[in-house]
Amino acid sequence: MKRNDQIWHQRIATCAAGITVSTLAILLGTMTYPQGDRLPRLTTFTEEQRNSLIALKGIVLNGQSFNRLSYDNSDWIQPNTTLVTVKDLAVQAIRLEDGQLVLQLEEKTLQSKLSQ
Amino acid sequence: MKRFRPFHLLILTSFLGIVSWLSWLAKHPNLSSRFTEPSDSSPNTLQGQAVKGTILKSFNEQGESLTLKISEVALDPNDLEQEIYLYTLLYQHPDDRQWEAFCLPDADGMTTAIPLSGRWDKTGARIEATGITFACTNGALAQCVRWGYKPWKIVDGQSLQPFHQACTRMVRADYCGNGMSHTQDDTPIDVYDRLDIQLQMVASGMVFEAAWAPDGAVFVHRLRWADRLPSLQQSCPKVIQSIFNTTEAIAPSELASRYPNALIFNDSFVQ
Repeated sequence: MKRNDQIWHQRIATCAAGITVSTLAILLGTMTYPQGDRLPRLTTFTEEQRNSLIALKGIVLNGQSFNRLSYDNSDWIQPNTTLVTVKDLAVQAIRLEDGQLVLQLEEKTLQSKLSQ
Repeated sequence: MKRFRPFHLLILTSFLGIVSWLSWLAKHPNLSSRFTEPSDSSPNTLQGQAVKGTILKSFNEQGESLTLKISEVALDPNDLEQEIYLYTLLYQHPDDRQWEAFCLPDADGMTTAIPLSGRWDKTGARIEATGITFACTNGALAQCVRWGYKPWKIVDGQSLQPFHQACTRMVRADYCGNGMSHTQDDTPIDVYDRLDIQLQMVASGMVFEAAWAPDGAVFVHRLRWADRLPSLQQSCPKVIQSIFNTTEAIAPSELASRYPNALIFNDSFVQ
């Protein structure tokens, strides 16, 4: 009976120590990243990048043009989706997903390439 | 009591440590995972850096065929939210078949473009939602995205598409919303908006210029360049009537209530 008590005491002590250490770890993590997932990215910015951020915001070089070929307005490029290729693979469709290009490859072509 | 065994504690804390590390990783995906793991789990889609090398048979507004190649893809280092992808585009010169940079260098010397959904006409109006426009980072369309007016996003229940469109009018000082610019390159401006995506700079020395909507200026307090008045009088007399041409300071909160249709405001130096 006494031996059982000792075992349980030991287990409780181990659990208590583990909980204490993990609580400390969580607290430390919270203190390091108090503003969610943005701060870790912020901390990776160099001084130069911070300065360029400030420059982007305020004293920016604004121009007359929409973009590159401003004077003849000819840089509104649209890809003809039937003629898109990626490394010899035909593309079935091209779309934008949150500002990122997503290419949908033609399944037959892809499978035949993959099987080679 | 039996002697305490540190080995058990070590095992337990290691386990808890691994669990907490895994949960942290799940909450904080790093950039490389964002790049390499497409949100579309379909095996036959490519995105991120996987689209490098893509050849786009495109055409310009004159209907001329243009062959483009995506030579590089990178996340915009200036975007805190890491949501803007910069594509380096090359085009094949029709004469010597050599690949050349499609975009001209921007203020940072970058020759990159941001793909945007839709198409814009010569008046600067977004004419259709279909198609993709590659906006070079030296131009207004891309500049407005990099200021935070990401047209694909919704903030506080509002689409940022009209904010982006209003921003393009503001950047080009297109007061009339007809595509005519009334500014010149390298003119400093400060931009702020009713969603506080951009805030007014403190003590910038600039003065309120105009309040903007997708179709142009809702109200013009004063012109960015006073010498553009004659050309404005010809092209857009309605806007001219609203010009106060004063240097009175107005707080952003007052601007938002005074001009409920305006999405974006800007200050500029008195030239």
